[in-house]
Amino acid sequence: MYSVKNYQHRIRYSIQMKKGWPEPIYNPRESNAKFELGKKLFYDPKLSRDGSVSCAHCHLSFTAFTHVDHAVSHGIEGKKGTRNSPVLINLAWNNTFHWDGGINHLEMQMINPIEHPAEMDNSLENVITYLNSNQVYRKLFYDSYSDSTVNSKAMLQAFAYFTSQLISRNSKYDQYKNKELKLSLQEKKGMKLFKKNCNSCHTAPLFNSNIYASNGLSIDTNYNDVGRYAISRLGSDSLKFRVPTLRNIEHSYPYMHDGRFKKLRDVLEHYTNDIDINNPYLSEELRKKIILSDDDKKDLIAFLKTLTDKEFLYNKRFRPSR
Amino acid sequence: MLGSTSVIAQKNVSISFDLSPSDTTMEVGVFKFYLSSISLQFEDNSVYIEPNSYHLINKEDSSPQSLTLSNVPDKAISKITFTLGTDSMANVSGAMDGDLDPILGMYWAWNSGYINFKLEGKKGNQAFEFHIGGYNGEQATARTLSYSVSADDTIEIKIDPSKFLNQIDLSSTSSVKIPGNEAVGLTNYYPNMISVE
Repeated sequence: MYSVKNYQHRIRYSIQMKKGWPEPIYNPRESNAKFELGKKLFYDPKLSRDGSVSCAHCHLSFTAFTHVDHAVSHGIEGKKGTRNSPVLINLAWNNTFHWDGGINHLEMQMINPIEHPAEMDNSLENVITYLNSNQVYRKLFYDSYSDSTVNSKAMLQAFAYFTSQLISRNSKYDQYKNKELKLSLQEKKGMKLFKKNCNSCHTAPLFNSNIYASNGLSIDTNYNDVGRYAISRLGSDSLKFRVPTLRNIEHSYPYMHDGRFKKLRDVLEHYTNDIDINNPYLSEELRKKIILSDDDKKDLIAFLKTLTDKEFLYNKRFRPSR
Repeated sequence: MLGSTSVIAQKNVSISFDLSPSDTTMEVGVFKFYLSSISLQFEDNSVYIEPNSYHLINKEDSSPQSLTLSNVPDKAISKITFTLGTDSMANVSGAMDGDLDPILGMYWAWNSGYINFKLEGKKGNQAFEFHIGGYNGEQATARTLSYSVSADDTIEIKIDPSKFLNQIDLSSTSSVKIPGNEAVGLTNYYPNMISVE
């Protein structure tokens, strides 16, 4: 029997709810075709002007979709950007994108790397022309939308579909929360320190916040990056950046919006000793000095490593299809 | 006829645009803008609201400088209301198509949102470029304007870019390409450049 109710039950969203997790902001209906199409776009260097750089160039699956050892992003012809390529993790729960939150919807994010002169330096128009001239893409678009003609809306939605599925929620920490395993004494000590000193901004279970904050870094004189101010034009947003997720942090070095810290040790050194308290817009949480002993720092780092999700990092589904 | 269905006669209303500058020393390179949320008021005070009303108007010769409202009740028109720019819904809802397709060069990639009004060119030796956009709170640049008309099925909207430009001191402000106070301030110059017949 096909009642209306039965029909509604058969609508399946791509992201399933999980206990203790908020609802995702972006949750398209499940579509394997869009996943495959979005993935092909993600790994296709022909989206760039000279055919040399794909999204995966700066966002590698094995390193939580960032570019390890690169302080800032690298585009075509060796051009350098001004910011550290962010991890692509649990984007479906973000309300804005980029370090300055300039992008207000996951579907609109892709336009920036395509068009940015220091990234792919192409035009949306060229990309759509290329996709329309390619029979493999035309078939994939047909599979997704029952229409082989490519337009930007279809492309942007398929791409957002893929990036929304880069979900990490099976780390050691998650398995501990699910009572599947126990944490070591050191990890538990680290968790206690984390809850006291870090969790108010890097809030579990996503270990981020959908806000902009100044964490007391001095301005980088190479880039003079004013952060959120460039978008909001509010003086109080000067030097503020999105609070990033700490999931898979062990693998996403270097750290901070400009990649200035190579090691987690350096990050903890900043938070304990180097915060610029003269910044009037410094995050309130950081006004009181964080005191950590050497052992505390080791414990905290041990906890941060429990946020590594091997299932996510080595997920074959996220790698190029043959 | 069977039954007693009352049929309201409908018509198409054509809106044409005259976008030529009255100041001949002004050279227009690009002149494009969004016109949205069009509604018509009739002499009996009833109102027609165009559904999904987003139109990109482009001075370029190859673009049509007119649009057609369809299924409009066949009554005398007394007022037209429209928004110069796009509402916040269009700016926050993800990928769009048609006149809102970001491929059309009226979308900011780095700071999500539509460029509501784009005017580039030269006056004498002075180059200028104004990209006016922004939808959020105090950055909002969409302006809703109303004009009395006496029309049946054609309306002409004259938008004179010289009358916009003549209100600006180009020696101090010749380029605005980001949302913010300056862009919002420039929208105050819209009413003077528009007339409706």
